Amino acid sequence: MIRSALTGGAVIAAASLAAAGGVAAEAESAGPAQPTVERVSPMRVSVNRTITIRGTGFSAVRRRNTVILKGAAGRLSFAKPLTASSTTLVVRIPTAAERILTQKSAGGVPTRVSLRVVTSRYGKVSIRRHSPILVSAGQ
Amino acid sequence: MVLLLVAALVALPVLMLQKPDPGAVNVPVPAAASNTAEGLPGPREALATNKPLVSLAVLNQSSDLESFEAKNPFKPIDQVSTGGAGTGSVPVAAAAIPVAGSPSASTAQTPIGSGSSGGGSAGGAPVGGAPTGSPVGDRPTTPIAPTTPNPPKTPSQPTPHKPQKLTYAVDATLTGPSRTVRYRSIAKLAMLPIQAAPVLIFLGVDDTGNNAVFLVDSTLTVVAGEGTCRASNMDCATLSLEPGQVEVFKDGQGNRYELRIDQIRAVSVASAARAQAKRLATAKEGAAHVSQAPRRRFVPPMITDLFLGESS
Repeated sequence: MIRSALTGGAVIAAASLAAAGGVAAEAESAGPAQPTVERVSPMRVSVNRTITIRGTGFSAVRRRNTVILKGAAGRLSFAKPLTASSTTLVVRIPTAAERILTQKSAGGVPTRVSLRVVTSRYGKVSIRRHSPILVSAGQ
Repeated sequence: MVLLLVAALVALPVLMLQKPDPGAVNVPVPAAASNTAEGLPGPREALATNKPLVSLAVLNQSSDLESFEAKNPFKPIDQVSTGGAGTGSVPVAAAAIPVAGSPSASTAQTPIGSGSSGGGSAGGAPVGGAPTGSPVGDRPTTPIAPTTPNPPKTPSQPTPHKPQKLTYAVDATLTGPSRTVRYRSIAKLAMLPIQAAPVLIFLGVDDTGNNAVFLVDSTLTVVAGEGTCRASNMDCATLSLEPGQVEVFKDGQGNRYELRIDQIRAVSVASAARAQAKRLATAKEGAAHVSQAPRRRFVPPMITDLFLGESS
């Protein structure tokens, strides 16, 4: 008798947790999550090469994602992904990104660029650990 | 003779210091009163002829204030009119005012103080009526309606104005190398000119509400314009434009872009959400929505070249 009661209580508790999880899931599904960059590979990349960005809050529709690379002096370069899923984006660094490198007399020098993914929401900027170093195409 | 004078000097103060005998003092009756009392009819005649009556017993009474009823000036008016009658030995004139035409007019002049309270040998002298003798019965009989105090006016409380949540909607025009696109209420994070190859991203309106802010791709270089670029005009990363301002760019291939802010409007969030939903549903820019606040439209000055009038 006691055992069945405990079991029933456990079932009820499990059902409550499931319901709570469902509510949380619904709350999250009410609006898209803010895109967040969690991992980037490789961390050193040349212009016209591709990088893989992993994270959350991406749009599975490719054209709805835009990656903003922020380089020296706050200059920006926009890039559209080649492929996209909700957690992964593959992006080719555009040629125009040469302009966001720190310019020296010898040309653009390797520059750490922060990433931000924009979907229907404005994503968080990547932290330094997840901000790759961008180098010129010839290097 | 001298002794007589001394005796008179001594006797005069003594006589003056003596107490007067109360029984020997006569109440002086005013001459007018006595004359009136003499001319007035007796109580029985007065009752019979409905004439005003003044009793000599009243005149003989001492002027002691205790003989009057204590008067409470704060007594309600309804209690004053009814409570005073027949309670004291002294007639109350207010209670004796007859109302013309009413059957109580005759009874109003009956001695209301009759009974045990009359006091004295007069034995309840029939006093009462209108002491002034004025023909109160001829007065217009307008019943005095009891005045009900108006309820104090409570100040009308203004209905609480519910604050409305507003947001900004920006209308802009982008002239590209091939065509001119007019955007009505640009969505936040909209990619201009097209989403597949953006060069401008609309961030929104700044906290002043006067500037539309865009992210600018590094492929664009500012040629001219009235906007504010950060970090610099050569390296324009963010662009702020007020209504009516124009910024001109050129990309790496020499294509020219001209961005102009037509107006910044304040609209309700609900209408903006409806417009957004409609825009998503129809996949068209420029869903109509109702403006809730005065527009801050840039209106170019009107230049007049021709007009009708008389020549001087």
